[in-house]
Amino acid sequence: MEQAVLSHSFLSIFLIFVSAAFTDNILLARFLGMCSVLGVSNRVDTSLGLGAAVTFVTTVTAALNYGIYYYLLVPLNLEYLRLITFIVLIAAAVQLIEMIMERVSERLYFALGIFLPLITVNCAILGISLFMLNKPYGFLQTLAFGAGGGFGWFLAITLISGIREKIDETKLPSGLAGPGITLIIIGIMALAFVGFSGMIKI
Amino acid sequence: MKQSPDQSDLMKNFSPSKFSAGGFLGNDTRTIGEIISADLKVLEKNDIEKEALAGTLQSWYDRAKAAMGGETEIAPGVTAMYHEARGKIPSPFRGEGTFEKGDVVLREASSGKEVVLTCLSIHLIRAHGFFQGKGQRFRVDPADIIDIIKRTGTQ
Amino acid sequence: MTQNLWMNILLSIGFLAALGTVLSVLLILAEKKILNYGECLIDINDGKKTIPVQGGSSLLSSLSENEIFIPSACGGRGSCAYCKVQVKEGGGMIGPVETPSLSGDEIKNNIRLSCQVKVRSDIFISIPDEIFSVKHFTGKVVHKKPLTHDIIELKIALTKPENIDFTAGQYLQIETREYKGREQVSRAYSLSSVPSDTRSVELIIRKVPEGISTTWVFDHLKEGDPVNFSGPYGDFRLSDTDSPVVFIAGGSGMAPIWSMLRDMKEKGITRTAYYFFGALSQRDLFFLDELRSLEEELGWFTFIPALSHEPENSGWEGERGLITDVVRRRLPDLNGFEAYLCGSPGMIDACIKVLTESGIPEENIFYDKFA
Repeated sequence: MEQAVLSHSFLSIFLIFVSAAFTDNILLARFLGMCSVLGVSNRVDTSLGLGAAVTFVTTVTAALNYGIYYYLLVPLNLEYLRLITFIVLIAAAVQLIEMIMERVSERLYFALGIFLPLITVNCAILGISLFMLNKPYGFLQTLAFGAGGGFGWFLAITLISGIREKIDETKLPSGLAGPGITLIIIGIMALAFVGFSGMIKI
Repeated sequence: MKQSPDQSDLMKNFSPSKFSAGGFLGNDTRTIGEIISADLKVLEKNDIEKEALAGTLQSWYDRAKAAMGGETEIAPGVTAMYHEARGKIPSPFRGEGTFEKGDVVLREASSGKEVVLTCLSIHLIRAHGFFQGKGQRFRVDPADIIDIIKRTGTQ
Repeated sequence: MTQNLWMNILLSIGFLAALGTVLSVLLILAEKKILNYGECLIDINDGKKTIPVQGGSSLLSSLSENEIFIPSACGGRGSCAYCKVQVKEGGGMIGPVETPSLSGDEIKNNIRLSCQVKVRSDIFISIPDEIFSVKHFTGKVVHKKPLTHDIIELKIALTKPENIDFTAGQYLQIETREYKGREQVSRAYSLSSVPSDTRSVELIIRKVPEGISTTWVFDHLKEGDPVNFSGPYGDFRLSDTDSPVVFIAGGSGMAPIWSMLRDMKEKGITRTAYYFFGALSQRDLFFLDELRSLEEELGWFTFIPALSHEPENSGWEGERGLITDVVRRRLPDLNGFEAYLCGSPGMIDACIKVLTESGIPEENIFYDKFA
């Protein structure tokens, strides 16, 4: 596969970041990574923490997966192993961030708990790595794409949790509390983000 | 829904543990939420708020405690007796602190029926509307309490 | 073509194996680096004792690994609030698990739950001196003697260490064992034996309905069984003065008083002492003969049992009524006395009221509140 075709100018990297975060928002435009959102978005502070963790993982794994794919899998004709390789790498990156979080903020580590290892199977992260393969990006651009995708997810979950915190769930029909209203919020926000579509074509 | 360790830790507190031999759910198969809403319905039917009910229970508890082990009559045909116990028991809801131990046994003379009150069980009713699951000693059945209240003619 | 196929299979397996190995090694190294807090120093009582420990564990467990036993009933989960320690420096932020168990004053004085404080750097703490003499013991049950329908006397001979050093009034934390699905717990019981007997300990235990510990003691513990406990804990003890003394306790609350009285006799302390033993009815009294003969032997000791719910015509000729009323009646003027109480918080509060009204200032009222 041919490598980078686009120019490496700062503008293009910036545009890639912005489009991955907004016009192609991995949660609101592509609908990936919703399970963690449904589970954790009831509080802003835990959402911020999880969002930061996810952004770290998407950036690091996009870069690592780019390297492994183009410098190991392709030369060895093992492209068909990309799914399993990416997952293994993501799992390792998540383990690393769990350790860092335990050291740095035990409160957050405990409150996020099971959702940290669940980042491994968060389809948003695998999705970003796989989408990256379809694009003619170089390394820096891949980095921007990964960071932008993660940042977009972070932005989305923070906004959703802000909205949820302000909603008085006792006023809802009882069946809608929790996941029900969250899905509705995600849907309405996705509609809003449709407004971004077509702004940047990458 | 998957639970964070925060929540599954909470569930552990309700089962038999280092502090409660029978746990707070007994052999009740319902969830905590179901138990609370079922019991609150009984309160609603009788037009009494959980805080007011807890206040009445607290006054019976205090009167029994002041009698230092003897029987006090709290309603016609109903006595209360305080049994001391050393130590404190933590609330199963994290972050609510610990409560003095010591049972007050309410006894209805004619039927021999007994209800056990503790500082913790009264707190759980006042703060959460949680009357505890069936099949263990410390469940406070709201129907029984309302019965006793009706006898006294007070609220 | 099959050769190519085999090559491919081997290559892919080899690649995945290599990938897995490399990542695992990297993670193991990272864990060693990130979660390693290195060696930290626990400084106790301004340098009176310093202990180097491996960082990362709770203060409670780091101390108990070094034979310093802070009392704990919940095994370090932050529920029982027994393990309070003053952490002057190095304790980190106070956690949400700790705040409900600490009063405003305690927080201001840097009191923390030692089971929740993680040792991640050098840490400076302050603990009562008695804790240094707390040890962990194993012993064997010598006898389980019923005293009333719901109270027994438990005597335990020490196995290791062979001797215990305590002052009358202190308590032990007994560790129960698992039975019928109940977890292992530890519970406090006051020592009723005399300090001069260093080879065994006696406890007076009352059965609590559905109590995890007392059910184990009453139904499962047998003579000859091994028992683990730690102690001695507590600062409830007889003062060094000559003032006359009023003891008030009932039921299992008699334990520390029984220890104090026999200790006073052995040491030849002859302070005027009154012991008011409150109970519901005759079947709740015990050690009557022992206490009466003590009264005859010792001129300075008066024993006053009082029953609050004894039937009218039972033939009981001793005092009747609530213990507070009996105290007030027999000793209306308690100026110059000290008081030692042991029992439930309700009973203690009621007694304090009567005692202060009769002339004892609060600082001369000592109690082991069953709390």
